[in-house]
Amino acid sequence: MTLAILNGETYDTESWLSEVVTRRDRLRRLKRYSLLYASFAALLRSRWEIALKAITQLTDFNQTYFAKSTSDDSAFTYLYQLLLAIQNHYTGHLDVALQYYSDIPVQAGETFLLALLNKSLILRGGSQQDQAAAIKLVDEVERRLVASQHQYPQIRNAWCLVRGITSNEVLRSKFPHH
Amino acid sequence: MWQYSFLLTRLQHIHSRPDVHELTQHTNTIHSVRSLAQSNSDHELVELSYLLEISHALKFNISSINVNNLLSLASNLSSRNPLRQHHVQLSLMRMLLHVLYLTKVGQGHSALAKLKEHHQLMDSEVGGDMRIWDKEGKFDLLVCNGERKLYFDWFTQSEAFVFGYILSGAVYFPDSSAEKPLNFFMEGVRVADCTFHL
Repeated sequence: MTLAILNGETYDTESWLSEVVTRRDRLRRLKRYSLLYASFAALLRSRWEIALKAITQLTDFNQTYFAKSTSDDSAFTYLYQLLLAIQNHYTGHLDVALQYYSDIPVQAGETFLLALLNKSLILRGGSQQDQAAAIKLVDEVERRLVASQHQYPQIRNAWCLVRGITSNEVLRSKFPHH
Repeated sequence: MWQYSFLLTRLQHIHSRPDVHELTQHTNTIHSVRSLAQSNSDHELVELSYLLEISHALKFNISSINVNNLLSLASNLSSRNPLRQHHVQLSLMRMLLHVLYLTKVGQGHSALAKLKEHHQLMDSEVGGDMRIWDKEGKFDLLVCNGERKLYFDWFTQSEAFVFGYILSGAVYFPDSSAEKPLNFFMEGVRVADCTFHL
């Protein structure tokens, strides 16, 4: 509040403090999203050092300034869980990754579907039971895509890719064999 | 004035996960604002109503709302309105929504082109003259044939820049070879830190 006064704000309305707090909180949310997207951008470009630094900065900032309640900003919460899941997925901590993916609820929409697809990619490398579970997850995504009124074109493309990787079907080539 | 206040206050209250009925009610309220503004020839408020409907459609994925048409209507109205001075907040809102819409429907190249217009606006108007932007993010719209004003709260100048950096990073995000997304996002963090010493 001292900073606001030093910046030239005039303390002349009853709602002044409320407005300053609201603006500060809004800016904190914007900073949080900037760090979140920077983390994703670095991960997806395999810039590990930058990604880990951004994720650490984001986690510290989030814990310091935001309540633990998930109702605060559910869009951020789901993406943050996805970020931590992908970070652990990339670094080989697959059990931890599976847990983070599983914590993303169905209300997260596309993020939930992406989590299911990523889980299936982990499980396809496991036991026969895990591989069966992987196929069920891919089927689940297909079912939800068909039933959904939304298009989700990028998730559909991802589903096609993962279906191709996890499928046990053998497609016979039409190339003539001599 | 009280009718505008009542309708605009209703628009502020929407459930975070509205059902179909609540979404329809919200759209109907926006249409009520527009009808009232049109009957009073309050063109700036009509323009804002188009932008509110676009924002509503994008936020809740309402495919029945023709966003392209609303963007054209808002743009045409801003150039035809005899009372409208260059209203930087309305222009910026329209630009941000247009970029969001183009990104959402997968028109990356068009989004990039619109983003360049956004950068020009930010550099020339928002960053250029600090007097035109209220430091608390308030702006006004002329109503009742230009004789009265409705006041609104929106982005401060810093918030407009931070949001612009986030949006820029998001538009460039699919290009995995580019460093631009990272640079944009980290610049947004820097501006946020400078503003409130977070």
